[in-house]
Amino acid sequence: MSDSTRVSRRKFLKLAGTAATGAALASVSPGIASASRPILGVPHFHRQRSVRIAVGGWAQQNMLDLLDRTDFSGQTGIDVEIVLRADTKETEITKIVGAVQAGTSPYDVIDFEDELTTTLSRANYMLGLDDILPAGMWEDFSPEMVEYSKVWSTYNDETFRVIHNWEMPIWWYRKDWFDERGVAVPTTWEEVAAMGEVFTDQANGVWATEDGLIKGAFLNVYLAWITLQAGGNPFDVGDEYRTALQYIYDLMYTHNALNPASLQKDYNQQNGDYIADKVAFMRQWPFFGDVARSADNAAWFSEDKVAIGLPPVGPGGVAGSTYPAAWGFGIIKTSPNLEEAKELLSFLVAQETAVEAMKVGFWFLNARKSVLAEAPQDNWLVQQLKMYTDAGVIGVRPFHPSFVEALTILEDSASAYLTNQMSLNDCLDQTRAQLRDLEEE
Amino acid sequence: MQTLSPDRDATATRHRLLLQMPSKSTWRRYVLFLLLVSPAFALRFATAAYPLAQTVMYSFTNYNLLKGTNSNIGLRNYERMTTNYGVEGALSFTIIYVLASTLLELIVGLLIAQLLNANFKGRTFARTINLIPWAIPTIVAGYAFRWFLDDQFGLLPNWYSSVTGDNLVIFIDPTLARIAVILVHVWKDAPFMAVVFLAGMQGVPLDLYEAAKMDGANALQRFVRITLPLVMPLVITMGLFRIVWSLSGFDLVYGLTSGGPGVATSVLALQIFREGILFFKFGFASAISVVLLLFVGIIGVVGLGLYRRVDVTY
Repeated sequence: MSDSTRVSRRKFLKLAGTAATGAALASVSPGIASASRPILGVPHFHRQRSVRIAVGGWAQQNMLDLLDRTDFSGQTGIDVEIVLRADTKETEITKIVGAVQAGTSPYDVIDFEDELTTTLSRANYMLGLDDILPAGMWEDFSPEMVEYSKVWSTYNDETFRVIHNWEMPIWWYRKDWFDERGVAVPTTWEEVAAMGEVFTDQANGVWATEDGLIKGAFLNVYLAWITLQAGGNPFDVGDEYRTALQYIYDLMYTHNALNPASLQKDYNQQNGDYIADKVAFMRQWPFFGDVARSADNAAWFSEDKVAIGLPPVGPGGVAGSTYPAAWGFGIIKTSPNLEEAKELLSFLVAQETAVEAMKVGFWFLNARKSVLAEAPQDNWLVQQLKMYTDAGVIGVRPFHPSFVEALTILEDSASAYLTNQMSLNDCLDQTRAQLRDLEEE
Repeated sequence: MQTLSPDRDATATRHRLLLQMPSKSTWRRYVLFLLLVSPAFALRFATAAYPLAQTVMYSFTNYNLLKGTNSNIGLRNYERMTTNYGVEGALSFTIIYVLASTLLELIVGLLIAQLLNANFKGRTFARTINLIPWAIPTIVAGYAFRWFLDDQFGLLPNWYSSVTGDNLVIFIDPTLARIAVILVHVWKDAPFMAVVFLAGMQGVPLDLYEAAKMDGANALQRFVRITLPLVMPLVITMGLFRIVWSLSGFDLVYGLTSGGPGVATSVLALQIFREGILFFKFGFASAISVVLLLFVGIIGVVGLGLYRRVDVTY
């Protein structure tokens, strides 16, 4: 190398330093900044307004269609990035907590379920929304949705989530089997118990009813459903919970109506058994309707195999025969684009948008008056929602301020009782003691 | 006797001291040693020693990320562990699970290794497919076996039903559920043990077997008297590793039974996951972790002692 082309150490350091400084300056400039027309020879930067919304994978296309159809970006100048949130609450909460502790958030608006509401709201991670909700929004909600929102979407008298997906366990039954045997669909606890004699054939693995009751939030759903029918909240561990547990036990071991193997099954296994003609009727979430109607099950499917009835009435009366669960939109406090997030959420929960949303997908179906009025009346899901709403069978989902922890406590001891590992009294004592500890923490 | 003057005495002392002082090149070697060792030391300190100390410290607090609490509560977390139904159940099953599955894995691994060490056609193929269970992600194996053992669709309950006429519902019986978890664990990890033991067996000198044959030892005697003692250090090492890995893993239990029925198949690592990652109760989760750490420590010490006893050379 000749002297003229050799780079001295000092020169090299200067060059490298200049390059590094340039790179550093470039990286700290706003990531979404874009250069627009230069004015008087000086480049002018403006920040493109944008917002990130996280939805489940199943709702991505619906959200895309909705924003496209309503031209949100065109109207507001805000670019919306749709990102996928984790499918499970465990993964999602870990992601959010880590980010919030670092003073940021992976997204601005999030679509989230009941199980995350207590955790996120009690940790003060969610933004109060009352100031940005469209006028008249609550009047559009059904009374049941308002009641539900007061319990599950409000903290310290402030709304932190506005629900858009509103669904409840459905009472599915094999109309063909019931017609064949000339019996009516059970409408009370006693009638459900009596179905064991009618349908259960253990030798062939056929049961009157079955559920997905494996631990990990599955069992808790059923415990809450039955306790609500008994007229109480399982987290109170009162007489109603005792009645509910005893009833479930009797359904399994005395009346042979409920398959005890339910305790090892999740919803996929439960659905599989129903479609394999092993179950006469069952409680299941609406997604089973889509599973049954899917191409995979075309050979099996007929409408009379997936008939829908009103849920059975327990000692608590008609009003608490079933309960809804919901998903809704909220804003994380540490969101990097708060103003844009507020605009987007306000837009999404407006009456006109809610109706449009239902039209792009039933993920946005709920009991808002405007939505139900515009929903296609010949659809099975809409008919079910109307049937349950009109019959007044929808109660409020049993609540606990530390929901995820409390349901784990409930499941541990209830599962032990239902598999004969402890007595009912021990189970209740155990649950009470653990919940008391939880409150004292 | 020759005597030294005070001046000469002082000079001699200085000389001796100079002789004891490291030379310049030795100093350089020391510095170089420190420079080379310090990154590894810093890494281990940051990734092992510090988190460990921090975990022990947290175990005496009520640190809860969501509630914002973080004050010293002494031994309250440890007291709570004695009354917590989930932790109690997990503690008892953890001991059973780890010991039983490790023991079975060692035995089954040795037997498979012995088979794979034999000379037969298709040996390479057999050695390859042997590893398939081990290559399946544990969580996938957990979910797959949930179906395999399902009362309606499961192959095993179906066979049982065909033979006995009774229904087999495994996961609602605490004992059966525990056995199922242990056996699935063995099915999954014994092949890996087998490969390691196979490598050990291949290192055993053949002349030992030939000499034993000449002396009239049968196959079982050759296995018990030659193979087993010579691979014993490997067995102990692998047993030690398996115990520690089993103690820290919960994915199989999570996928297969979620710890149920009740808490019959729950393990300490699952409890730590629940308390720490799901509930963000770092204080309580740390206390359980410390107990787990003690287990690992005790097992490590016992294992090392055993290893020294059976160390062989040939």
